[in-house]
Amino acid sequence: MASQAHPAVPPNPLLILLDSDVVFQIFLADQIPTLLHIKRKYHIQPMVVEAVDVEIRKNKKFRGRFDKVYQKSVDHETVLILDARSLPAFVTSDARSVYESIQSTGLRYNLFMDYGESYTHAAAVILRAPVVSNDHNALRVAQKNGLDIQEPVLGTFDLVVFALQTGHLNDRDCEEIRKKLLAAGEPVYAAFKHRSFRDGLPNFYARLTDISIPAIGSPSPKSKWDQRISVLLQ
Amino acid sequence: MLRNILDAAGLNPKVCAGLLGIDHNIFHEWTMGQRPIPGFIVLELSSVLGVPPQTITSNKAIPSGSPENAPAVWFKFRQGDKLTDIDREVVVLIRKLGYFIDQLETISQIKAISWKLLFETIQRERDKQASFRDQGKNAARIYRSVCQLGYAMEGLGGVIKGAGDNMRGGLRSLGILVMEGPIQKSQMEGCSFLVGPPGSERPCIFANTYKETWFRRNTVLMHELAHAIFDIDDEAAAVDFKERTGIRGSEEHRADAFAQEALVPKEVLNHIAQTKGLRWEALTARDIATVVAYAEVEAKTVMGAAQEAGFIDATLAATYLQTEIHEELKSLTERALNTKEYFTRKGPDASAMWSPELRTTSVPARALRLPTPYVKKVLELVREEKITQRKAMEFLMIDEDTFRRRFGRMLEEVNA
Repeated sequence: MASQAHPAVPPNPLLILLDSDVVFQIFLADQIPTLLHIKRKYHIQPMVVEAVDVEIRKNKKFRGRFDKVYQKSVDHETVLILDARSLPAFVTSDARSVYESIQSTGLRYNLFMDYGESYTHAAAVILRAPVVSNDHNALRVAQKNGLDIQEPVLGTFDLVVFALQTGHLNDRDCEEIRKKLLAAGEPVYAAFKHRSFRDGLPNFYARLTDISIPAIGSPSPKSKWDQRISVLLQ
Repeated sequence: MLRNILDAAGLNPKVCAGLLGIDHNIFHEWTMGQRPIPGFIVLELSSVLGVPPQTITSNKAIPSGSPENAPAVWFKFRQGDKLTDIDREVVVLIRKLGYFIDQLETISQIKAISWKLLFETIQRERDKQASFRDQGKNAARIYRSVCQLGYAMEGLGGVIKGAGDNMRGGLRSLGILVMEGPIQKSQMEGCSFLVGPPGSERPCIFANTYKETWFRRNTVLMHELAHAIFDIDDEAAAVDFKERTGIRGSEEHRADAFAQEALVPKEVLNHIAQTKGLRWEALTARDIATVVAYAEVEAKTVMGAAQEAGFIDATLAATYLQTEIHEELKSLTERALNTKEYFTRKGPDASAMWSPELRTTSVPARALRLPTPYVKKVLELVREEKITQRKAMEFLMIDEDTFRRRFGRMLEEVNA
């Protein structure tokens, strides 16, 4: 369904910013196709800031295991690095000054967060783009220090549930993802930690939904961080 | 261009990437100008390399290769054949730490800059016509007065709290970065140089702990402090080696005099002798160990001071220096114990919390032992949720697994 059918719905975000922990989980769960689905069908470009790119490449859990897959996804622009070269495609104003704003905001946030977190949240605030990060510690720290955060901050399972809602994944795929992440010792959203994906879904408030399809998961927010982004097939 | 700066500084790009925790392929592309250096890392690079941020990002080639084109701090660390890559690598890490300490102070909103007042006072009071030895001694008196250093005290359980402990705490509260750590394959005994981002520099004094006693290190640190006060403004860095050969410069005599007077002035020796009932002309091994334990300074410095104070002559000083005191010293102070013995005696609490292993970095290619107050401060900020756990990992230069293993339980207990 095209976006013209829902004139009240704001346009889809042009991009989503992935934090390094989410990128690891996507690789662990073999979910590059989900990113591609979001990019192709919804015209939302998955991106990482330069600091996250550096963080991913140096990470010892990642190196030797996913570096080729990551490089391929960067080469094919499934994941795009947000830098001075790529930014102009996503802004209408002077890209150079927007880039500098991200740098100066990131530098300020970096007092309280690491490079990846700080520049991801800084870019999200300046570009008004959603962040995908499983790290809620950063949100509490930002709140304590009076730093703006672009809300909502999505998690890996928001992408998974979105992929299920939009028919890209099925229940079995989602359960496999859950199992893979748990087996790798990765943090998993509370609703799915001790329950199967199917059993946990009613307790999960999906923060990324296609408004043209009936929503799945919990009908009401589960925490103060639960706000919904509605998108449409493009 | 970054490549030129590294060349001039004598830093291997691949090693440098490892020390900074950056993938060496990306770092290589930055150094060769094949990929722009991202803004997030520029200030850290600038702080570590000692060049303005705009020089880091500039595409202009600077004359490279030769040391005279090196940033001032690196010029010193390229000189002679005694300094090795390992020494330079440690300096890279300490300068990285200096950058983080500046951030930590900004977060805490407490900038320790009293060192500037101390250094300015000493420079102002300095009699340039006086001998270098007297310049050192006069400076040490000002230092002792500013830091309000008194005498060693015997506290509960016979624990001696003296010059050494006070010295480190005092220097850190002035804003001086005091670093101690082992560099095994190095001839360097100590060094001093500036650290921190441009415009927010602070002095750092470093003592190599490898095969050095805590008592010797106190002398080394004070010696380096003298260099920091008198020399690093012009020279950018001062380096001292374990084996001292050749003619020593006047600044070395000044630094020696400063260290001696700062640690064991005549009144301290008098105080120890009187309170412990010692007779300088007939010191036993136990007596010598007692003076060393209470002064918290190696026997060589103590005997030099005693000789200068007129308590003993050169012959007696030489005799005392040949006396074996190690076992006596171990019975008097835990500072004479090696690290393993120290943490065994201190018990599980001490070893669980602040053993060197818990303070050692894991991300950089070379390990660095971080100062205890720094680690404590970082963990305090994590507990208060003033910084994220990932920021703490960045500050402590450790990976996530190491962070969870070392501090996970402690942080869980606090959150519960």
